[in-house]
Amino acid sequence: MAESMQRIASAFESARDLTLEAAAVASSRLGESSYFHYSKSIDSESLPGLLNSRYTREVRDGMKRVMSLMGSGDSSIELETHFADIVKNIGSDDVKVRRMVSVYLLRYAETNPNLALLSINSIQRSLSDSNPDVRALALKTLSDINIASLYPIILHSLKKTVIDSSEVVRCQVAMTLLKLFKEQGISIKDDVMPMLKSLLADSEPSVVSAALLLFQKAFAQELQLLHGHYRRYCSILNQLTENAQAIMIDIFIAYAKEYLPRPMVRDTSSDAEAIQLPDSFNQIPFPVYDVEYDHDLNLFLSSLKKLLHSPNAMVIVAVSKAFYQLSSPKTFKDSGIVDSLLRLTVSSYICSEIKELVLQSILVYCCSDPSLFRSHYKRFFLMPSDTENISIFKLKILSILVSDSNCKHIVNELKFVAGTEQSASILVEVSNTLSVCAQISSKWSSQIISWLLDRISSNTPIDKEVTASQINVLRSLIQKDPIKHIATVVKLSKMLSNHDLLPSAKAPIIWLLGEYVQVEPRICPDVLRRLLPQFSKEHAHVRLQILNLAAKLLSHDVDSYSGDMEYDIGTSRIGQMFEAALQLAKFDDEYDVRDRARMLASIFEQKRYEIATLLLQAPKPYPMASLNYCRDSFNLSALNLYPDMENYYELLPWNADPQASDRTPCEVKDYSKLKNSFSSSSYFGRNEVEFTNKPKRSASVSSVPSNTFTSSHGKKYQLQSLDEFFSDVSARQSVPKAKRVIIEESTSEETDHTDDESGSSSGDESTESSYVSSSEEETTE
Amino acid sequence: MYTSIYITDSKKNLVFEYLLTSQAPTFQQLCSKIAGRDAAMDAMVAISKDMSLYRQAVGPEKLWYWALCQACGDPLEPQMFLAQYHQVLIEYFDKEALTVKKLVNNADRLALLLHAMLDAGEVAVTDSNRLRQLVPLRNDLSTILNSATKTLANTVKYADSKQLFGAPVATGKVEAGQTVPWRTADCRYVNNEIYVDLVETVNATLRQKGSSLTLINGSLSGKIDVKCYLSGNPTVQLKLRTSGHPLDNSALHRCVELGEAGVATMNFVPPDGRFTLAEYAIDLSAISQAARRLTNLGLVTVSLASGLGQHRDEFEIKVIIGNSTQVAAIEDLRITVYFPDISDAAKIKILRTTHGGWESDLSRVRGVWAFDKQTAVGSVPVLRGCVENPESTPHAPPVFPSHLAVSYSHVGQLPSGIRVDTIALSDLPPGSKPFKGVKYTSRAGDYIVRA
Repeated sequence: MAESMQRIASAFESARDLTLEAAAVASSRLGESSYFHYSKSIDSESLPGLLNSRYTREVRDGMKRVMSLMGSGDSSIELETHFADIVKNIGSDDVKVRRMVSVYLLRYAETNPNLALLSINSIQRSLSDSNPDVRALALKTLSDINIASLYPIILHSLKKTVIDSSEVVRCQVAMTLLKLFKEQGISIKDDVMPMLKSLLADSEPSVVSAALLLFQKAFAQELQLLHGHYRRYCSILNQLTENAQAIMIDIFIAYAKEYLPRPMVRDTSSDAEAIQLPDSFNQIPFPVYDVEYDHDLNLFLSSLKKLLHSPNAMVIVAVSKAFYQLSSPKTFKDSGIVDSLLRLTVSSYICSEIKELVLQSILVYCCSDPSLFRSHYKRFFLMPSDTENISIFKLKILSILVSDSNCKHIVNELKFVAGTEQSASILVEVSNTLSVCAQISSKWSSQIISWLLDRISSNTPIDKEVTASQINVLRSLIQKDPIKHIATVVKLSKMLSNHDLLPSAKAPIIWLLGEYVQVEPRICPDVLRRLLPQFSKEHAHVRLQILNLAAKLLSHDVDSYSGDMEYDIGTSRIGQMFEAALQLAKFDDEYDVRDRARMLASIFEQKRYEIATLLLQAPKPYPMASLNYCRDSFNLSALNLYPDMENYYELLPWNADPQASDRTPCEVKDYSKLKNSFSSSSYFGRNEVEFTNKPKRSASVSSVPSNTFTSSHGKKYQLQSLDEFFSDVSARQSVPKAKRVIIEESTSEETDHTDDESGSSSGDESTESSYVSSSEEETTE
Repeated sequence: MYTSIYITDSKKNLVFEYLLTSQAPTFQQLCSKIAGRDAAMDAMVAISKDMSLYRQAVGPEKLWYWALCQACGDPLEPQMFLAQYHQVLIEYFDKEALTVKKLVNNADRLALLLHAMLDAGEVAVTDSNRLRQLVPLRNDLSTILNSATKTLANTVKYADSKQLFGAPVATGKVEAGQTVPWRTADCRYVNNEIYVDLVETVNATLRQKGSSLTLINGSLSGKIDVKCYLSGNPTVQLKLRTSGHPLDNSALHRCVELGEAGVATMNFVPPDGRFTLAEYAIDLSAISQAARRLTNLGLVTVSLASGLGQHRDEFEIKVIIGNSTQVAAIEDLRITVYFPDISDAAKIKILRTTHGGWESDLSRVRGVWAFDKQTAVGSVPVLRGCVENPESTPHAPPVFPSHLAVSYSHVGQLPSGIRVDTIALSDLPPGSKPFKGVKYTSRAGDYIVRA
């Protein structure tokens, strides 16, 4: 098939005597590639001809060429020079051409504002087109022309279109207002505000979605605007667009913290007074508790559960954030959001960049309460297809989830990873996680120490960075119980000369040996003797530690000296070694080393040995492994998240004294009676049945008078703005109105059918009955 | 707030760019800015104080999507938008995967789609049916030629060109007949067809303990894709036989209304064209009986035995392919064998294979046992080999593989045993005889067997 097509294509291409138009028609019909070749042949000379042609097809070919030039970053044709030719097509009959001109204007209008203004007239004319998509496009194009003198005109058109009968246009109004706001800022607040209020009260979920976006970007502080809509929005949450769902959750978190009473926590094991939900997620002092939510907050939290099946990762994470900010770990666990988050992390069809962000969120929750994900720890074992970043975050999560019961599995898994993984940064993270496992019990600690020693000394050609990290883990483990691990220290000291170690590994070993002076003084002098000749070749950190080791050794030697004579630095071997180190350090490049040398020199020269003992032999506290984050003080910066992730999880404070606010639903603006068609009610009618049923199931929600904000059927006729709108329309334009009436009548039958349908579609036979009614329709037509 | 969107191949050659303002940098300018940084390999690079460049690699053909945008409240938004854009392109062009050529040929459509999706620098529309309405897709001759074989007789009968093209006809009135926001109004097809594709990917880590395998960690990641070419506004009822899996945490397309039976019965008014109906994950380690855990791994199980033979230095890999009437053959079976570090002089020697051939690798830590395109079900391929020590150290301890990675795919049944019970269509125009197709595809993703 493909071959025959190629033959046809080549036949057409060889037909040189065909006119340009005929060739274009023929080859463009044949397939994209041949059309692309034809399109490529359009150059700077022939482009104006096409753009100015009387034939729509030629104009379209010309515009397609312009689009592909813009898209490919190709600068062989200067598109600015054809500005007028292109923009004059804004009045084309073909909507696609108009769209393409609009794309062009978006990018180039600012380069040529005077010419761009010429197009305004035809754009404004299409604002009253009968097709709502065209009206919306006109509004969009108008506002995309980024010229300050246009703003009053746009604002004027918006005031007219904000009550347009089509939700597509009203959505566009919200987006256009956002554009204006981004340009003009707070100065046009008085103009925008009434329109925003009307958009927020819209009955169409798609308009509410756009209005919420405008609200979040422009007036996020004006939460009081939402009082009357709060309950209705909770019920239509799952009908909004996915992006709007995430935005609404974000807005409502802020709203709940500002205006809703704080939840109370009651200890179920005793009769103590209920306390307020603590600011931080993990600070509830009772082992078993119940949380009592305000019923409006409960309404929001239960409406979130409808979103647990969302395929959108952003929505799932937003839902989890809402539970994290507004509720307790218990509610978080009961809500089922844990499963939804886990589903995202194991899915094979979600790209790794998104998985990584989901894992970062899980890491934040784990830090607050490890018990949330503890039973699912196996889900965080590394998989071969995981990227480096995913692996690192999984390891961090594992290091938090590790406990007595799962330690065995996790350690085994980590050992396997250490043996097969190639990436250095993952291996470093593995050693960090192991050090956390080692803190679980002394049994694990000794097992991990011997395993680490094995790994380091078996001559595997692994990265030096990894060796350094393993040595550091080893050092911190040994320090916990020095006497038990003398043999390990001896092995480590041998590594100083046998292995080619990084400075970041060498310096800690030398430091560790210095700490061992009191425990086992016999090892150190020999190590120091071997280090001194290499002094000048070492890294600054290592040099500093060598000097410290010499000083510690000397200080210990002085303390343990029991002779009658005063200790003489000049004659003792250790004293001489110290002098040598001092001599080397005094001429060091590094300021730090010289400074330390001077300080130590003056202490020992003036024979202030007590000070030296205090300074150099003080017992050091045992370091907590670096990964054991934030048990008490919650600090996200230790987790190494992306910066915007950190901002995202900043905890909002609860308002200590929320103002009394009235959340009785306010009037909804329903434009559906103005529409050409009524059939969408069959869908929303069906959903309304569902909504009024749903609250009955959960006792907490049923207390809300649900029908006042869900069913708006009865109210449609009472709306005042309806009459106003019609009088407005008839004054403005009479022809489209007549058109409307005709279509309205012709479709009214349909409405009756669909209304019946929504009434009967509660039982199982709904599909059957609707099938019957649709066939009736067929016959009546 | 988005400033520009770019698509490149994995070598950063520009395929398509879309700039939302006149000040937005072209990809060339941007490239020179991030050229010096290693961090360009990261998914997010900060360009200036409040501008970041987000990157997402998609699909086997490794298209890279880039978005330059101002930091917004939600850290997932830019990545999510890039994923949505990719999904929209897939659904819009109705393809399994996108090629660079397809994108270059359709630069105008890519721009128009983005023009509709982004407004005021924010995400406005992401629904693919709505986008197809705004940017109508004109089916070219090749589409007709492709479908001609099947429907030649039908196509000739209907002389009307609109029906000839077999594509939904966009009417001027947008809302006329639109029942649900996600479905294009007034779809008309000559052949009413609905295809349901169930895909499952096995991700599992197993350990060989003696002669038996134990599951360390595993999950099945499943997806239900639907291709729907139905006239009017039909309602579809899809009943699944879930074989005891709860599927509670599934992700569902917004069109799905759950019945009393949960995910097992889904009622929906489908969007037109291609879409993902549901995604689910089955945690294998949560299944309580050990035997059931292993049966849910699918048709192919691999075991690894070592320390065999006269010198106790041989290993044997045995692939047990279960028998099934629904599956014709296993496709693209490959087993990658990983060895611990072996010295340079040692040699991997294959003693015997019943199927396929051995491909060694320069890295010395792995080799691949590659099978033919198709392997019959019910067969038990075996490979036996050893790592020969160099002559200088003949008595070194024998080396055995540390783990195996298995990859394969087959059609016909799913590892979890989930099947479609019925697809019931209602509200179709009278007289239409819809065609319903169901396809099951299984794949091995991260399937590891450790020694």
